[in-house]
Amino acid sequence: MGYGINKQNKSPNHEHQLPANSAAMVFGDYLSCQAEKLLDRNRRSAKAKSPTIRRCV
Amino acid sequence: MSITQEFELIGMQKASEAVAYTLKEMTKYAQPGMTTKELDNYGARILSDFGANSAPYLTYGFPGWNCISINNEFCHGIPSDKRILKEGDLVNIDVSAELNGFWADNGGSFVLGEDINQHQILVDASKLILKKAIDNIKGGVQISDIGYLIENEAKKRGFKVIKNLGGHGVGRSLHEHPDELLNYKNRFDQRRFKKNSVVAIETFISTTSTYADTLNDGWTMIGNKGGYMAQHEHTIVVTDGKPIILTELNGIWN
Repeated sequence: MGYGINKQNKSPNHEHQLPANSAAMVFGDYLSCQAEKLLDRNRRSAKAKSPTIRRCV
Repeated sequence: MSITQEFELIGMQKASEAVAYTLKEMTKYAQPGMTTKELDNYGARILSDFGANSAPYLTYGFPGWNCISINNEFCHGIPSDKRILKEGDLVNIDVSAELNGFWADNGGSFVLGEDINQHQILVDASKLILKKAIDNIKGGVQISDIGYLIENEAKKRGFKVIKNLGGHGVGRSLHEHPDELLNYKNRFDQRRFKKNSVVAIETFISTTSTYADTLNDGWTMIGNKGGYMAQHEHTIVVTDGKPIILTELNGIWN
């Protein structure tokens, strides 16, 4: 099951009860990525000179 | 996860065997006239016999055991008793499961019956690209270089890649670090594959689209520009040499 890039960049734990062993994201967010968000994030990463991709949730 | 003890490797091998065998058997079982719900139920029985649980259900509350996507549906399709398989359909089955605390993931696209809609070239490209990608993964290799390889191989064959789906770490949960193992080169990603880590490597090779959007059902993804997509996926252990392909039993390269 593919890892999706989330467009809303928010924590799921504020809205949903997830099993303890679940990944820390909401599937609805997980599925709903848009190109613009990805590009925005990359631009932010470049600006911050971050050496790694930040998890987008 | 990173494998540091023998019991972890054994646990991952057992979970991987469960998902690989289930994917293989579901692929063989699929027939024109069958509903995707029937196919999912068959897979659920096999996973249950292993003592395994559906990973997408456990993790996200997915309404089914396995994701089954047909034709213009790219991935995460919900099994349905209204969706009937037809000759020549492009079918994707993604089986991921938890067994005794270990999680494994694999998937594959195939043409059902005779290739009357000419999807086989896309399927074959995806299979070959996954093989090339996995053959080039070892400890120390930059993650973005594998993304470059995948996109480049797709382009050479006249295809595109989906940019908002990727592979991921797996093992103690369905999706864990390293996440976002993308199908293209992200020049901001300086991460490297680590020896002994467990990752799910997946291709998302498409005819026309470069992004996947979610339908109103909240799960099924389709292309932003339509067309078709083929996905193939293995769970592997990264080593200093060739990776250990934990889900090799699934037969997606056959």
